[in-house]
Amino acid sequence: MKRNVGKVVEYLPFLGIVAVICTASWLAGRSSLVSRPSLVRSPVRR
Amino acid sequence: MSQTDVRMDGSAETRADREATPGSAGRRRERLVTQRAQTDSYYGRPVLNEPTWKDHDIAAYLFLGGLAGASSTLAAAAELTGRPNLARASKVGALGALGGSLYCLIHDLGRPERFLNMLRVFKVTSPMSVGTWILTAYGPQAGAAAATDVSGLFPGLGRAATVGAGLAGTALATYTAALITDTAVPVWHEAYREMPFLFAGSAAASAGGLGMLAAPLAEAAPARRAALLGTAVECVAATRMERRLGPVGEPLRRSRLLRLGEALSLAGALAGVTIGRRSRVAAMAAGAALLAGSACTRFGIFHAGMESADDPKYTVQPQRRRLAKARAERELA
Amino acid sequence: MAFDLDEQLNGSRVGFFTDTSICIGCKACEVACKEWNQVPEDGLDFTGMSYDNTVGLSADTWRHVAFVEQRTPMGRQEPGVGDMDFRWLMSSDVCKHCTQAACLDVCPTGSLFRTEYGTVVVQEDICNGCGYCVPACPFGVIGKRETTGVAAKCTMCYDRLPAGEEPACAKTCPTDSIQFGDLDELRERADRRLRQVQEAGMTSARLYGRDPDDGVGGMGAFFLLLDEPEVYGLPPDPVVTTRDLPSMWRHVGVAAAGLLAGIAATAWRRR
Repeated sequence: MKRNVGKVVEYLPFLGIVAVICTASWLAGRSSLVSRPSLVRSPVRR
Repeated sequence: MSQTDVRMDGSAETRADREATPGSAGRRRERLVTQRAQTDSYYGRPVLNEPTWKDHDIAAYLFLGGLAGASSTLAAAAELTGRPNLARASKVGALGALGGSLYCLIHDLGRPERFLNMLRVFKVTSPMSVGTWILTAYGPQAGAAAATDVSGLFPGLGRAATVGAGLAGTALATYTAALITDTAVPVWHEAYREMPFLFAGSAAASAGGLGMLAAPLAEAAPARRAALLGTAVECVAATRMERRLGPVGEPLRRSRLLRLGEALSLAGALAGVTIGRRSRVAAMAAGAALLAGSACTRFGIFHAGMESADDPKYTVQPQRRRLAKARAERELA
Repeated sequence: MAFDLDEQLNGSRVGFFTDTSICIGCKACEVACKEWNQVPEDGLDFTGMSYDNTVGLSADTWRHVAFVEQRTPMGRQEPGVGDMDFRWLMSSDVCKHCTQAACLDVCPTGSLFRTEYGTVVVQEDICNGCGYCVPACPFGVIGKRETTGVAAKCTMCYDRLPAGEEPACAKTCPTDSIQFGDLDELRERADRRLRQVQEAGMTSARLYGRDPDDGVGGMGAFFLLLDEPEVYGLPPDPVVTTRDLPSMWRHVGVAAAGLLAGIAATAWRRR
């Protein structure tokens, strides 16, 4: 049991990284749909 | 100096024992025995030493590196065709995957504080050295692309960095195939013809998945198509690989992770181009499936290789066949 | 071949010739190697593999004596126990110091290098423990040491050679099964010995790693074996992994171009 827990813990950094990537990417994909500060503007839309 | 000179009797001359006749002790009779003990391993021990790479570092890196590289390429394509949200989502995703890649690579080192020693040399004979320089070229561009897009500063520089990262990204997503095939691990080495295509397809599928997960439906068309195309290439390459390798391909054909990866990728890609075009929730689910599928494929390839390194038959038998073939050809000639 | 190491070194290449037909399995080489090179302990296990409890070469075992028990007679020997035939094959394995060394080729830090004696040595203050050399070695020689985190393997006693001393294992070998010297001379000596052993009835005797045209360009440490290499845990036809690398890079290049073209194509059509 304890060894299994240890094995799962080894994969947590990887799973955490993937979760962070997805969240950050999702937020970035939505950022121009919601109101943004004037400084933050897409160079393409300008 | 090429002989033992410490002796009981103190003389340092070449001794006759070096020329001793094997089997000379005991009574002798004139016979030549031809029967031989048939063994093809030493107590079943592997010929190769077990790779020290850990799957949660190196297999994870294979996935994250592919995701980062192909996402940058997708971001460049999206930006140049006027899809800013897909471009931004892909750039941020690529930067995150790049950070994760570096974490995994450095974490796997025996002496992490010496990771900069990789920059001492450039060797084309070492895919890891080439990869280090690919990362060195790619990293700052991917970082600049994401930072300029999110902040809105220096759009010209951002455009150049985006295109540069997109080009370097293709190298990052595919060189990892050379990284693992340039080893003596039977499954990895023998698969070197298909591995780059499998990895390119898997990378495109994961980048497409991330794009579907993150970008609005109206802009996600390239992501959906990249996922479908990538999955198709990945599946064809994997099937070809498993067939061509013959007996050595056994660990690949047996791998549940590879089957799961193919199933998830196919389901995600097909769902993406059908219901994923209309439903945001469906697109996100399909994207997640594609990401998971690509990760499973990389872990599956990694473990199949480890399995082949651990069993001497995958090392010895192909080499024996090669020797037998060479002998037969010599006799014919 | 474009690069001939033997020619480059102008005859100063040294090596080991391990004649397993006179190995008595005393393991003095293992002990001397550990002592001289201060190689740490690598587990005190009872394996049940005849007298072999060190199992194989690794970061902490640089000489390894293999023990093989076979129901086969030794040459023309009469064992004296009825019809029972039995022989013991013993062989002291070591790093082969290949002419084309995969570990050296793939090392991304330049820690592994070719010495002026033609041997391959790890600089442990450069190595960052990436572990690439471990799966690259077709013989399973090099390993990563747990305690220091860096790669380690036989150096052919690089620190003894400048003083004109032979490596510790060869020095201590009581039967001269391990012979050290100029590689050219050792090859001639091995050819003579092979004829002698075969004439004595050991028809299965063969030299392993002597041929400069084999998959690793010839080994700096080669062997006289009495059976197939795989019986001793050696690969029958080792090939340096980087031999296929040019083709690998070509395939990678095509795949990268395909990835670029594929993604460009997916974005080409407007919504």
